[in-house]
Amino acid sequence: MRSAAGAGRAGASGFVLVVALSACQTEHTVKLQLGGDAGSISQGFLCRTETALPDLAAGDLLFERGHQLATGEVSFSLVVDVVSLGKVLPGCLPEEILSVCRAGDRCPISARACTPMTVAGPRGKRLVAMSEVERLAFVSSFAAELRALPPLFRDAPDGPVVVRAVVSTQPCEQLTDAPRSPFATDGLMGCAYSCPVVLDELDAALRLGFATSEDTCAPEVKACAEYPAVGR
Amino acid sequence: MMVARRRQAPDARAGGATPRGPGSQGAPGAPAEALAAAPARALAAAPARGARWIATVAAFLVAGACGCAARPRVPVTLILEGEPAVVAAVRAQLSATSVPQLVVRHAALPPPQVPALGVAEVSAAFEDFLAGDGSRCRERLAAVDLPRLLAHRQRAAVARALLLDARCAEGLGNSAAADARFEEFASYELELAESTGVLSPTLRSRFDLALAKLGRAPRVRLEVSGAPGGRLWIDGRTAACALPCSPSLGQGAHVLTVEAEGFALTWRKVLVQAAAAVALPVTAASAEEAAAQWHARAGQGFAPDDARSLALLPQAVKDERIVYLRAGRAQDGLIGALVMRKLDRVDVAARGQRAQVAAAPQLVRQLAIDAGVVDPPRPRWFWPALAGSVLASAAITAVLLYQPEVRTQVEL
Repeated sequence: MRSAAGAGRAGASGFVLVVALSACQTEHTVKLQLGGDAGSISQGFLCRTETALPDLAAGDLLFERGHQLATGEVSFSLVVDVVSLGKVLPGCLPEEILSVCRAGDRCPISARACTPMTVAGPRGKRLVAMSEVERLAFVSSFAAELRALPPLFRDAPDGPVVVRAVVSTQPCEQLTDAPRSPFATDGLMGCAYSCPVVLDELDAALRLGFATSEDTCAPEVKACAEYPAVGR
Repeated sequence: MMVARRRQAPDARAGGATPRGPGSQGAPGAPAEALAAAPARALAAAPARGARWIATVAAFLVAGACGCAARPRVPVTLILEGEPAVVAAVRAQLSATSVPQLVVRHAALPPPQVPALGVAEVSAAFEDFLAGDGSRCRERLAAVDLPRLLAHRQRAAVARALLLDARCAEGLGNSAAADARFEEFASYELELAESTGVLSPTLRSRFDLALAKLGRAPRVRLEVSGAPGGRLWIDGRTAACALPCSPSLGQGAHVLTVEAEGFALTWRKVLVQAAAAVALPVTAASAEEAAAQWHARAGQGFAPDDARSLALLPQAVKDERIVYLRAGRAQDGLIGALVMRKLDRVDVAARGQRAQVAAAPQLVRQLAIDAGVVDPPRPRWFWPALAGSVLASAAITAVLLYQPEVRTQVEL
């Protein structure tokens, strides 16, 4: 009888434990890294235009779009999108990701964070004319300012995702009100994206990058801003 | 110079939960080895992990509840025999639900019936003969099934019918019919006894001639088959052999009868000329026939609850599980057995007895337990222990499968 009562008590205790577990939730933080290391930024944010554009001269950095020559300030909106890939975690090759996005619900943007930012730049000269020291200082300042931002998402989407960061001259109000509308091409300043990941299971920092080795990468920035939500 | 300002907090929207998969920290521009760390991987298209977990625990609990649920009652048919007063007392104790886990259905064996074989017709034909009405005499005898009479061992009645028919036929001038009846009489090797009184001296000499003729005829062997183990009767006399067997017979007409418990009595009239094989039909006994066989065994002095008698009960009451209780006088107590039929086999699965007639429900339950019809009573600790084990198993499984909800914060 005593062993029976003991078994009953053990079973009841176990059941209570199960019920208690169901109320549990674990906290987890993923740090985004917009460059190769903590002190740099991706080439996707340092692209130049090869040809002259209405608002840029040939060879200008796309960041020049937000540069005020008089004050030296560079103003822009940093948009971070979490693009869901459905139930399948594809490889990192663009064609693998696109094959997932061409099926199903076509990779919707599950979450978007937009932060207006201003970074100090050279006063009275164009960004492309920065000396190497000024350039390093600008990049370092940009990276430091990024690190100082508050968390972008408190509870990021589950499942396989691609995280993309786009820098644009468009105001955040415009970009967050209609998150599925494409970025304005003439406002794009830079872009980087991650490989597909499951954020809940990621233990390291998530690096965002840009698949080019050329300085003149304006067309790639445009493609990046559209990628991978091919079905928008 | 390098001062930056935050203008507003990030504006964020997050989607719903989806299954997790392994991640990669490589960026699109990362080295090849970093890219290779992100293999394509299919995630289960199942409900969210929380739902899966709850479903598993629920399945355990449902399984446990089913295991603990009361089982349905098992029907048994009860046959009570014995002293009427005691039987009535026992019957009053055994209502349909008086025995735990059982539904008791009372049944009675059909009473033995004497088949109408036509013996009275033979007597009436004799009256017709005495009244000088030969035609009526023959009509009556023609309606009598003589092979059936022989199958039921009414040899004297058959002898009387054959000689009477021969006498009536002779009276009507049909000598051939009379001689045919003599041949049949001789063939069956019937006893003369008083039946020969109906024969006139002339007929008697022809009758003796027929007997003598058959006595000279050679005997032949028959291969007889039918219900396995059945007892063979030839012309109403035992052949002292169990089927299949090969008796030796004189040439002429014979009635072969097979009697086997659980099978209908079958017979066949054969005209034997040479060695041959004869197969008699094998037919299961009807409920009335099985009951009659059970009564017949009791009448022959066999115990009504011996294995062969009990084996007849499922057929007699047309059920699979029979509890047989025999109640003698009140001080003799109860004797019982449980008989079960499975496919073609009938087994006495349990036997028991109680000194007190009042213990009939306990005896029936004990028989059912011994026969494996119902489970033995569980010890008092069984159900709490089982319930605890189920809950503990559910808890262990749940803990092993448990994956907490992850709330991921993303920052730069």
